[in-house]
Amino acid sequence: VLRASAAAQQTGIPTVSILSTGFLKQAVTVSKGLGVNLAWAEYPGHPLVDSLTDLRAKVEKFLMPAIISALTAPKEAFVPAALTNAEPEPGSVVFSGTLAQVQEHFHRKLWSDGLPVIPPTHEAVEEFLAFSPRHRDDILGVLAQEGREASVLSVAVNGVMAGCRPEYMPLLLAIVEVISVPEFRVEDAGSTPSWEPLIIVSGPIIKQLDLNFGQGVMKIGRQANTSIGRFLRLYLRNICGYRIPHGDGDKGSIGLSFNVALAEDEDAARQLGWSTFGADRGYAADQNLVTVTSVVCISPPAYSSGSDAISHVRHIVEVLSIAFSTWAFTGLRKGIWHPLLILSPAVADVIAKEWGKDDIRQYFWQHATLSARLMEQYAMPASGMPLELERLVAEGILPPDYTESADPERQLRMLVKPEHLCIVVAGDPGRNQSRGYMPNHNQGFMTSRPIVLPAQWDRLLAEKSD
Amino acid sequence: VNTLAYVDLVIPEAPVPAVLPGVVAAATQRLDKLRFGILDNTKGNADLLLGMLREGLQSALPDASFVMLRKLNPSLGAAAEILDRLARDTDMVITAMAD
Repeated sequence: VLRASAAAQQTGIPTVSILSTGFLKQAVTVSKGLGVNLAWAEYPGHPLVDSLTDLRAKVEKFLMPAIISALTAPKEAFVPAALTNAEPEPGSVVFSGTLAQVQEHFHRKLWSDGLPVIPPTHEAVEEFLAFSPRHRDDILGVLAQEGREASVLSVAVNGVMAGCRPEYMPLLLAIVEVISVPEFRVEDAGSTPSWEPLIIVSGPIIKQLDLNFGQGVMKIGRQANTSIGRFLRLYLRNICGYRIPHGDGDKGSIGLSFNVALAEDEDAARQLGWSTFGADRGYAADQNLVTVTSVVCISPPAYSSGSDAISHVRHIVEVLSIAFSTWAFTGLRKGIWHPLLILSPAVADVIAKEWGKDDIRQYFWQHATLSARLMEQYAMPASGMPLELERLVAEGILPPDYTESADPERQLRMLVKPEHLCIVVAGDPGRNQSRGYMPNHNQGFMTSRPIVLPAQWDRLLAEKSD
Repeated sequence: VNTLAYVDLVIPEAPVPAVLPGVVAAATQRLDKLRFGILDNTKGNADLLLGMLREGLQSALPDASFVMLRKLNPSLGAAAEILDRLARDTDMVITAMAD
């Protein structure tokens, strides 16, 4: 709403945006980030749970006066105080104190995720910058929703705070490059479904940085996986402005915790004769690569068994399609979404004797289905609007067979194309467990960027490990 | 870090561009025959709410006119045609809703 208002206002058309009460704080943050002074009127409460009588009463009692006032009040009335606060210079010293005082200050300023932070001293930040292939003042992008500059320096500071090691810096920079591109849609990272980004690391850097790709791969517990995942959540707080109360800007209703960074067991994939995930993304197999995708839902563990491919794939697809069924309509609306299957090396080993990754994708595409009736039913409460399959087909977002029949029990494929399923081989090689990760359609859209290493990378890395 | 020693800390945030001045008050000059753009982002009940609002504004401002527009999806940006229409044919835009 506010982005549309800002676009209209920048053409000289005054706007008033209507916000329910819970979005007022976020509106200040978004307005600040857009760099536009926007007017809004508050709808008290939540319109989706109000009766028609309540709706009309609130329009007459609250919205009408607010909008008439917006037409006549001087513009100064619409400048929230938070928009006029002075900003410290980048790199400036903002606090001096003992470790305990540092923690208290960072909690009070909402610069921490609630956990203790490593103090970002000048010395610690300089160590990180020594591993940067770019100048400290380079700007990687200007990030919604607060519109702050994603500088190399800011990456180093938040990397220190997250507990990263200096040698992670090239990877951290690539992560921020990913979330800076428009197709990633970082501006939606505070949406109410509340997705969390998932970082996927590919290439030789997995072993160089000691990332876990085996047992417990998605658990907190290994420094690289954990601190790199935490870094991105801190960056979304401190640079993008996504904070839950006592802060604001993040409207996630319930939410998930941050994901640790995922790395592939690339040796296992190669031994099966499969392409690595990085190669599937279109890069050379030895390319160091960062991919970031949103995660809004994680499937239960899929324990598959048997000595043939179909026994495993059938069960995995059943588990994933049940887990994804009530939210798959969001992906159909956009015509593309990338579910991620983390496939146990042990299970992949059985499947690979008969099938390739494309066969798994094909099976998922054909068999992960839901009736049109349920797909429509699930769409209404979340969005308040029908799925509109006819329009989606007419606009070419969905293929024609989605509306070939009017039978409400006809099965609709959750994925528009087989190749939209992504597969990473990782996890316990001694266990038959796989899992599915569902993105929030095109918000946090799966995006990859190569990791650029600094000159003298090998020497810097060797010095660090001494 | 020595827990008793003092350390100097670098700010974890980065600069924000300056906020542009608002232009809402400009609308007051045309209250007599104001052309309202009403943009529905398709969030739940936004259409009902905006319909009621239009009725109320029409009563309060009998000479006002209205251009009713609707996005296709709340999580996608407004299409260029919608923004062009608002810029061309309206003096004031009301959007709903953030919820």
